[in-house]
Amino acid sequence: MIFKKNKGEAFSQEEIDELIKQFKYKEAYKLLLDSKDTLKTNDPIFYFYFIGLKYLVEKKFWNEKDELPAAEYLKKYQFSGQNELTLGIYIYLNNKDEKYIMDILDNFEIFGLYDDILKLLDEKFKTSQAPEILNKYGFTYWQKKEYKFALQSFKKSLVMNDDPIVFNSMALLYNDLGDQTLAEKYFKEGLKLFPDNFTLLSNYAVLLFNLGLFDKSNKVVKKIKEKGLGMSFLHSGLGKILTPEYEIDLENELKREPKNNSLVLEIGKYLLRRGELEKLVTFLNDEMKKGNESPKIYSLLAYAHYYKYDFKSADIAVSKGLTKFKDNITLLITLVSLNIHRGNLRTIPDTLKKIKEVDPMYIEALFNVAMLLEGSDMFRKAKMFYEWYLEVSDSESTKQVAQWHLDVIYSKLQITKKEDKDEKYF
Amino acid sequence: MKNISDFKKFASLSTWKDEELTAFLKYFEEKKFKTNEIVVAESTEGQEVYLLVEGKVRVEREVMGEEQTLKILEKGEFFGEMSLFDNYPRSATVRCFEDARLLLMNKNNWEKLRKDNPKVAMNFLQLIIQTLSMRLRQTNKNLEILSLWLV
Repeated sequence: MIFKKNKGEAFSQEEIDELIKQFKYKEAYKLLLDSKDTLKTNDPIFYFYFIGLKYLVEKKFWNEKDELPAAEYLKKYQFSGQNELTLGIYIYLNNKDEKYIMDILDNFEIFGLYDDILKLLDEKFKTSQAPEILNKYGFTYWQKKEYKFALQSFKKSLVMNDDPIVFNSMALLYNDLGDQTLAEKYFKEGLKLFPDNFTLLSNYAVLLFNLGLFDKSNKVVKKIKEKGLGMSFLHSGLGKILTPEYEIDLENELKREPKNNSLVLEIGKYLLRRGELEKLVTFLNDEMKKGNESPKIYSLLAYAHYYKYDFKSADIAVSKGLTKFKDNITLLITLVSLNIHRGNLRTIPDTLKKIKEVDPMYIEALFNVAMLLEGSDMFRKAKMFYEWYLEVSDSESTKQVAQWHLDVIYSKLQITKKEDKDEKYF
Repeated sequence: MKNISDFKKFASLSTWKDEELTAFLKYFEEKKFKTNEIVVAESTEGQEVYLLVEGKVRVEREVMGEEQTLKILEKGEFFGEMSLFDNYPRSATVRCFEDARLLLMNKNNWEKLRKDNPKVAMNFLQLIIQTLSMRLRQTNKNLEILSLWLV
């Protein structure tokens, strides 16, 4: 979409996206400020970006009385993952009803604005004894490494209410302070009251592992597994405490079967779960030199580079893989995925056309996923998938349905296809 | 009803032998619907499978009070087949996108077909299994495409 400034030259939405992505808030804000009046009617979503950036740049809350045209869809964007937009939405909502103040505080956390959180808490809730306020104080002081105040707030909070997150925070805080005995005490107390709490269990397991109490740690991990409490190893930190014996076993197996690609992948995934990206890249490259190559291994290598923010090497890995395994679906999907996440959207339809030649069911999946995203109020992402579907699919009847859905999304986003052709989504 | 040769033009029935098709279609009755008429309604009970012979129908679902079209079915496609095997309410509304002619087989006739002609019943089951298998494969592809967000 092209925005017209009140004075001066027009600029594109793509420019704004790029500036925000690079955290060049001042520049993005200046462009939006110049087009503020046209934004309200042409693309209210970007007006919310303007509101969010106003705070981030000027440290001032937007306090105008305007009713924005997209207000009825507003809440749907709260979960869009675009933090600057979400902040703008909450500031707008809070301007009308102060019940959104906690949401603003949560958003400040994402931006690391801890001083701003404390300032706002003091302004609004200085004498409050409500657990959620005390927790917010505690967490914020903790992030600022003001441990004494953090502990005071958490302790007050526990007097008011038992909350597993506060027990967890207390334990982790004492762990940060080097007092593992008290850390263990708070984990145990919390688990007495909330025996199935995943956060408490996983952090307790990590603590026990770090204390060298491997058997005890394994017992806790086993309990998590048995209870199926969610095993996102990479994000919970549990990956770091998978027993090294597991890795050694796999490596020994690989020595026995040096051409077993499945074992290479298994070790690779294990290293990924542990977050050992450097080791993973070296390991995969070594194995590939030995001739252990498969599309999945190239794909894993590409993702390893991607997680290291080495995008060029990620591209090279996929490209090499596709030279070796022409038109392989795993690698083509990896290519789409990497391009989506890096915002290189223009090349994607060509890749999708190749995917269609190999397996048209993936193209139908675009439509199905678009509907799923639309149903989850992720309209911009859904829009992108519908548009790709229309560009690539041969099924006229389903394309008709996709167009209907897209028209609804356009009206919700208050845009027209033509105007929005160059929109970037991430 | 149309000639057998017309039914064999449908991809779903193209491999069936003439006599099998004739035997199979005996258990269906014909119904005509006007544009926008509802064939089956979401959340209602129903125990019939439909074969779309002429026209098009749209599969709709109510999302937050609004009807959303999920799919357009064209002639030769079956729908509602699961109701022969489970007792769950219809998962979507099927409405005529244009005037349509459908064949329907109810649960009683399905039971009769199973007793009278197990071989043809087996053919139909095989068709349903293929459809379900394709849907499962499609679901797997959907998940792969959905995982594009999860990197």
